[in-house]
Amino acid sequence: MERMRAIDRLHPGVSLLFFVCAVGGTLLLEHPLLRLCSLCGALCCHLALCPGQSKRFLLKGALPLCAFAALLNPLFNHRGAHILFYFPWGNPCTGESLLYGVMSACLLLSVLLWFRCYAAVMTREKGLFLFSRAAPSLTLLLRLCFRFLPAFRRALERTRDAQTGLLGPPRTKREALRRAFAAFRVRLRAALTDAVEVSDAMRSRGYGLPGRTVYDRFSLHRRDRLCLLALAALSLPVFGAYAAGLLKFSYFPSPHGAAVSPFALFCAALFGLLCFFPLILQRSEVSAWRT
Amino acid sequence: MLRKGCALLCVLLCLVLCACGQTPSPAVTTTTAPTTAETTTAITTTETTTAPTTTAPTETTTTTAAPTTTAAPTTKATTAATTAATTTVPTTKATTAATTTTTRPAATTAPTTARAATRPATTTAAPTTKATTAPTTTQPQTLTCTLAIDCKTLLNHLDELEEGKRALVPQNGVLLSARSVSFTAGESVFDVLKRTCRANGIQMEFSIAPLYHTAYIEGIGNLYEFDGGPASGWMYSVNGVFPNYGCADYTLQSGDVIAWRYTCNLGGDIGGRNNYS
Repeated sequence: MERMRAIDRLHPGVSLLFFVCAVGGTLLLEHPLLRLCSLCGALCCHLALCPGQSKRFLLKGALPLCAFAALLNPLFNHRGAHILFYFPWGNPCTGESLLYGVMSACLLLSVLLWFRCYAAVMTREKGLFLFSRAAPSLTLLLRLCFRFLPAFRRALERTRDAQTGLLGPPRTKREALRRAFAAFRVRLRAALTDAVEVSDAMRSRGYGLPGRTVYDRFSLHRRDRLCLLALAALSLPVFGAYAAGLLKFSYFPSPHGAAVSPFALFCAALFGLLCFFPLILQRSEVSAWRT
Repeated sequence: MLRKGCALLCVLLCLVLCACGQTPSPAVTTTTAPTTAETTTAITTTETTTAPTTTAPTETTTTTAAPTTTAAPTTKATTAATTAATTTVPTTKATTAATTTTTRPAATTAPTTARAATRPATTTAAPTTKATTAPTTTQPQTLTCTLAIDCKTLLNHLDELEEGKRALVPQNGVLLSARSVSFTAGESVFDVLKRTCRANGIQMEFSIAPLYHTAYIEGIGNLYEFDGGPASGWMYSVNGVFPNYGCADYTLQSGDVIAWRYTCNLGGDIGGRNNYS
């Protein structure tokens, strides 16, 4: 039985705002402290929101990619004051470039995790609810595009199964290739027909016409307003400080920028709270039901 | 189909490699020939005569370079190499090239009979110069030159530098005071700079342009090109003259005085020639 998640009961707009703040903050704020906050938050949220997926995703997909990204940077970036050793082709490998590579790998990993969480929280209907009024045809188009590849692959597999069932396993490589092409051709034709059918069906329902009203499953409750306030209180000071240039950080020629001052720590604490927002919400929900 | 495609790809790859490998070879630069077919055969003959001195890869690239321009005769050449008595002109040329690869003494005479006698004078000259310069480069003998690195021009452009880089500029603008550096004959300005920077713990980044066989100095001591404005970067002078070509191509003489200087105005502010304005 799947446990009800607190963030699922929020208004989709509030969830969207949270993800925009988290991903935007991760991308904008270069300070290593804030970046580590974001990474921790993303990891914990992923563990909580996509239970059972984290280990496989991290080990098979994300971590090798991030290690690759981290090691790639010193190969091409030779700036920095601390020279560790020299590459065989003569350019130095510096500590700063290594640090920068690690930090950009952190950025990559946390953004990947945030988007996994987004996909887990923002279901199809929530997405359609949010965007279908502003840009109906674009939303539908994007939705169909995102659905296209997985659906196409599934259909292709079905066709291949049917081929082997009818004709038996291919004897030569040439035959296998020919069959693969035939299946691809069939599926491509079917996909084109499907697209025409879907667009006709949506048009016949009047989708995207100016006077068309949308049934709202979601409305802004008091809870949602409170969450909006909390999100604003957490994110506005941090982004304000960023805009004022108080959280600048640079890695070259040697790491320098906003020191670990009380103000920086305060911003980091706010941003950390923001990143752990879904978990805090969950915790408050649990305690509310227990009492 | 697939096999043919692979073969075609391989041939294309070979062509590209030949084109890349051929440009810097000295034989090509010396010969200015009227027709392409003749020059390529000339190159092959000269390279085969200097077979012991030149390295193997260059030799193979130049010999395969011949078919690239004279596509039609070469297919015949392999078959008609033994029956050289056939009458058409392109085949006889190709067979002379083929025989020269096998017998070395014939190589000097064969091209002259095949073509007009204007070319061989220059083509045979190339191997002799090679032979004279080769022994001197192989003998290691220590020589000295003077090397200095400064960025005095940056003292007037400190406001253009990034905040973190201002501390990198010394008070007097000298990154490395003039000092005597030993080098072996045949080494370039780039070799000396690389070695000295490494020995003194000065960060230096360069990029190699494989097409031109030279290096470009992007930054010394974390002071990079464009740090001091859009017309800034590192230039070098030897004995007070700015050569204005790649530092890896400048072969040093004993007693040379090298100065690496940072410019904020394409060389105009350090006494160099501004070639760009």
